[in-house]
Amino acid sequence: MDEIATVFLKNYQVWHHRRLLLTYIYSKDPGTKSPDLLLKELKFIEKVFEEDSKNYHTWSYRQWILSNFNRNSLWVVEIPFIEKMIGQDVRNNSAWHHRFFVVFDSGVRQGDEDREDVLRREISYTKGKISLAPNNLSPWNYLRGILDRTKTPYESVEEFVVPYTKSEESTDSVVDLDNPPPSKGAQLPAVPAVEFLADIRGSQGRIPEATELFRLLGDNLDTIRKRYWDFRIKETQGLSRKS
Amino acid sequence: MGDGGRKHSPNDSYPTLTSTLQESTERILASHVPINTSETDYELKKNTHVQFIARVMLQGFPSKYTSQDASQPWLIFWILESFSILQVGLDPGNKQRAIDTVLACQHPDGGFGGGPAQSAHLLPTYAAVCALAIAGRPGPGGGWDEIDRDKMYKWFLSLKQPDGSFLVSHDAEIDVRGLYCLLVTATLLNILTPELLEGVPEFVAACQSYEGGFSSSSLPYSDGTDTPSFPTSCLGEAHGGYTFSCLASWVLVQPYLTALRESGNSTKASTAINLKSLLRWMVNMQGGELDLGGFRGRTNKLVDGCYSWWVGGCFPLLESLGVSVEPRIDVAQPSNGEEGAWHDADDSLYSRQGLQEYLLWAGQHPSGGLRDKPPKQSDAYHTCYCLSGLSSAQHRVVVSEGRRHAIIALWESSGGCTGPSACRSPVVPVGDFTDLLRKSAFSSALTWVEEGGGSKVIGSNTNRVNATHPVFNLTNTHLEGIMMHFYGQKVPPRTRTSI
Repeated sequence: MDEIATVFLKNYQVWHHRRLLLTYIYSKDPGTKSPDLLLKELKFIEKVFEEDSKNYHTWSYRQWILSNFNRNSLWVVEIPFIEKMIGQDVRNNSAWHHRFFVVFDSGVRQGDEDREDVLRREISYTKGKISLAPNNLSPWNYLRGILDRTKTPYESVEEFVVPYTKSEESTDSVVDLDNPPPSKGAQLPAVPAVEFLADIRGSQGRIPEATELFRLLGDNLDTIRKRYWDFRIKETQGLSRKS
Repeated sequence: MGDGGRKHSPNDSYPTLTSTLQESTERILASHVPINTSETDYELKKNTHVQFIARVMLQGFPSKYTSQDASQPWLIFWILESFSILQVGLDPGNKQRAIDTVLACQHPDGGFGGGPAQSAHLLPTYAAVCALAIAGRPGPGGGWDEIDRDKMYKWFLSLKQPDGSFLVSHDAEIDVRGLYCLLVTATLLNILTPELLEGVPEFVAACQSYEGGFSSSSLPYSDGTDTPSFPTSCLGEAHGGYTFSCLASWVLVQPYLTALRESGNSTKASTAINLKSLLRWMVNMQGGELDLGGFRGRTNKLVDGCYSWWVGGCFPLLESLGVSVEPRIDVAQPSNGEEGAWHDADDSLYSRQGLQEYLLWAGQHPSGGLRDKPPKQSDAYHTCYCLSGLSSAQHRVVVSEGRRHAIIALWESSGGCTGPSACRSPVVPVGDFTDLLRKSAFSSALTWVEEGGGSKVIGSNTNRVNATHPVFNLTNTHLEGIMMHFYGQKVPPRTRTSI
């Protein structure tokens, strides 16, 4: 069975079959052996990711195991696992989605009851990952996602975002641990940062500045999406029909 | 061929597996950018594609399809819809062959399977019914009246889960593609009921991920401590195929939400999705300069021709929900030529030019058919969805309130039970609310029209393909035919070129 699953990765029926098997075994023996079996399954999935680290069905299957059995002994292995995956490829969006799933989208983990603390931890983690490769959309989307979910204003991270919107490297020699600067080899200004700052300016009512940033995106940095950036300008200026 | 001075995607001097794959793909795509961009570089090689599809059809079913969602109805639908988009009609013999092959997949207990004697599954059921919409006809042997709607409806209900979702098949998983397939089928066959739709809007909304796009499924979450703030979690990240399925499903449940509102049940009708984050995710799926404007299906994945439809095709759906650049004037615009200066009549939210260039330069396989990306082979699936995406990028198909009113004015409330034989069977319960829903579903489906001045054909005008319906991916002619039959209704003639 394990062999078949690794060969036919894209066949979600294989994963569904494993799902049925787990459900069956668990229903027969809900006792002490089951957590071991489930942990073993999570380990197996981890091995499968060595072949294809973005396989959709494999990730969904992992999320199903976690949610369905909802064991603390399972949830605790997730953050180290995610950090390993993101450490291997900071652009692996499946791993970022999994992080959102674990931290924000499936209830509250033991030890994570202080949600403000969790948010601070996540923002700090995300900033660190953005600084490695500032044009990587995955952590920017994650940052937006967690701020939206916790109803935290975007401007709370303004200080972090601004250096990523400038083309020259900051000459500031003071190291701000809360706000890591862009890495040396970063290609700046980074499109997701300029967009983020435009959203902040829009929310602050600083419409001309927001407009200028959207224009920079549409005319210069991200021309394929010119129509969208024009739309955002109209929307920000309140001219668009739909918010 | 050269890269036309196009920029590579930034990797911030921090290569990972993702950026390395992206770079090698960009290098291949760069070699497909024409140097002088003469008209022949923009040619849609219609004849070679027609020949390719004809080969697939005549050879029957190549063995390589057996490893995928092994499914005869799907292969037939891809073939028939590709022909429709390429403006090719099928001769009566091949039509009949298609009808008979599809009908052989019908399960004795309702629904269609991937082949004869296979268990019924929502995905091939959709493909089978849409294939019959194209090739079928009323009367004995025509396919339409052989569909067992009564059993199909009961089978649909047997798949339904308490959270508004549906299993794709008995003992199988829940997946929003199945939901889209069910809603299309039920709408076409006039078996859409409040009972079927109860909880569906809530389930769809729960599948929207933090990125704005939609996931494969969502799971009701219970941690035993009764914290109802996050009652569901998304299984899997935002994805093009699932996003199309959810957004089109969302459009298909609008008649239900409208009927709920009209009958005074506004609480139930207040479920919402986040259109703003959805739009942001959609535009971010369009690739950069060296992706040639093709679409990817997830953040940080590679472009693939099939997302031309799954993501590119989402834009008219979103527009029908009110997200548009300018308020649209609901009159036929005079056609004033085609593409021109950058400030043209094109007010879409993505680059229709970019997408067409991707499909024309990289999507076409030299020996016929369309594909994911070079150097891959073409296949029936990619041919169908690349062509559908091309059609969507060329044409502007929008909801016309004028047409909706004209359709409603012709509505006969006794319809559906006095019409052709297939409609007589009282498959679904009768009632005021169901009638309201039925009328709303019929008029909403058939109210899409092509906006005359809104087309944008890159390359010569011979590249023009047929327009296709943004929700159903059928031409309006095929859609009207099957819906008039199953609803026992008439629609007013189209004043402009029909799609």
